[in-house]
Amino acid sequence: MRIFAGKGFAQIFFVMLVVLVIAMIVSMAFGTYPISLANLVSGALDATESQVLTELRIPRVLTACIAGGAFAITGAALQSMFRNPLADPGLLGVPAAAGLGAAVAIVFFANASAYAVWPGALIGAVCAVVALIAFAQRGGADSTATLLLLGIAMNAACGAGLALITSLATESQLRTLSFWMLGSFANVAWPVVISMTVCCAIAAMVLLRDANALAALAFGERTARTLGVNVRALRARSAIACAVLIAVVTAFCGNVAFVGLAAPHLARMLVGAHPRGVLWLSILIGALLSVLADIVARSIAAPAELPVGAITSIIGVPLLVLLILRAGHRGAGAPH
Amino acid sequence: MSKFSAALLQVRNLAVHAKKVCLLDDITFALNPGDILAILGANGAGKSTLLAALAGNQRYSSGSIDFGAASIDQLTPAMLAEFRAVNSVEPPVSFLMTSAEVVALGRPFMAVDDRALLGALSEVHATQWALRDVGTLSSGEYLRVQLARSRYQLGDRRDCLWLLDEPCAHLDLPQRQFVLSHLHRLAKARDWAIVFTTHDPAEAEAIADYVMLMAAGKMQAYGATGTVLTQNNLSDCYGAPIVRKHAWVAA
Repeated sequence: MRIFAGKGFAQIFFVMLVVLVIAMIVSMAFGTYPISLANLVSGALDATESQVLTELRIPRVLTACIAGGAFAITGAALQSMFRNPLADPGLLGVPAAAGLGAAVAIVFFANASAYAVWPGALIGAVCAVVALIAFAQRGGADSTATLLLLGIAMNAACGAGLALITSLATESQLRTLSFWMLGSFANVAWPVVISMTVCCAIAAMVLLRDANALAALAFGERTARTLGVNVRALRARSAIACAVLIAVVTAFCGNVAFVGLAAPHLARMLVGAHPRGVLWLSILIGALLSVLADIVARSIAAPAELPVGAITSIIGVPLLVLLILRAGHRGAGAPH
Repeated sequence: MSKFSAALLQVRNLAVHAKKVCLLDDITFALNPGDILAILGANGAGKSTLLAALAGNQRYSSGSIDFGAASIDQLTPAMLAEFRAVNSVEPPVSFLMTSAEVVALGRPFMAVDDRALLGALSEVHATQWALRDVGTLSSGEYLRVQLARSRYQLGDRRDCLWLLDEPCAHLDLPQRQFVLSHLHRLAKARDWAIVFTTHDPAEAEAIADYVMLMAAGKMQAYGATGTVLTQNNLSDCYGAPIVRKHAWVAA
């Protein structure tokens, strides 16, 4: 009897991959300049179409995938680290902290390109994750209430900081800032797509390598240690990896709300607790959700574009409420 | 007890202080492969602290803990995990996780060995829950899965050390009997040293070779089970008269 094969991880993974690729192709056809699906698949494109495809559509779809995947795997990792199924990068305020860091960079250090913004975002995100973990260890963040309160505090603090910095900014800085804060999957150039991909892939690999150790945290820190996990090093490594993922994505395309919450849950429903499987499948599902949300955002009110974060929130909020209601009888404090 | 240098576990003058409060003081004992030690004492006497210190989860302020020739300070969590397993109170698992997956995480850095995993589950008669979410198990049932996880962690190694904090709390009589005999069987068959805490002298009498009575962080008495577990010693240890009467046990 194979213990994990019963869950059919390989099959589910393959099916998800196929669905994702189909969604990506469909997504490439949508937009102000529609390209027919038949032409897209057969490759019979005229010059304008192929230019639109290579310079706008493909970078956009890839950005959506990376952003969704990054938020999803970060959500899965944070849930393990906080031993709480409600942990989500956005709820915990990590993107807000990245935003604050980026704003500080724009206003105080450079009125510059996206490349100057993201070190600021990274520092903000790292500080946020480290602070969250420090507080969580004191306050016992496996309690749902503590975790949500921590997130509220972090979001509020970053919001206040951002308000202060905005009021200090000059007009040109304000323009850079507000343009950046609107963030979307559009207008992301190839070099950015490539650097995002590289950064996110490296950070994701760090988390994937630690999949089992992260899963062992479910038994509590002490037990994880006795099973051979160097908990302190694991937390540090994972915190930096999560911060890199969120900072890179937030710096270029803003917050993809609730994907970090929804994707790992769907993944767990599909493959149980298979630690590496959950992380891989989270990436795929997160990418899929993000690509689908992007299609919806572009087509509902075309030619106007809705913010993708709003679309993912519409899907995510009911899920969050459901999870909070369920956390009442499973999770924090419930005896076995 | 005679060959101190070769002992599997050697504790000398161990003391633990936390925030200037003395939790443990002057604990000295040694265990050889196959020895079973039961630790008894009133609530707050320091049983769990001692177990946590032996597990490497509690900093100690003075004294030493040695495994064979190596001090506990020289060993990384991964090195300790190869020969030392711990079962203590854990927070409930807040994710969907099957019993098999819990056991598999006994060795988080190795590929799953299906045969060993199922073997560990069947030894505690838990195979039927292999694919069940542990959140749906009762505390006694989940305890058996946790025992299987430790069994899987240590595998076929000899000369291991297994630390258990009140392994029989919340268990019904037959379950308690089952767990005790399981521990006894493993200790003797694989030369594992076992240290467990309990509030019931009957559990110590059932399987322990040695008993330590603790009070206020100190060893009140230590020695072979038969000589230590007397009405006088127990009464002294708990500061209340304790007498022996007939009791119900699972045969």
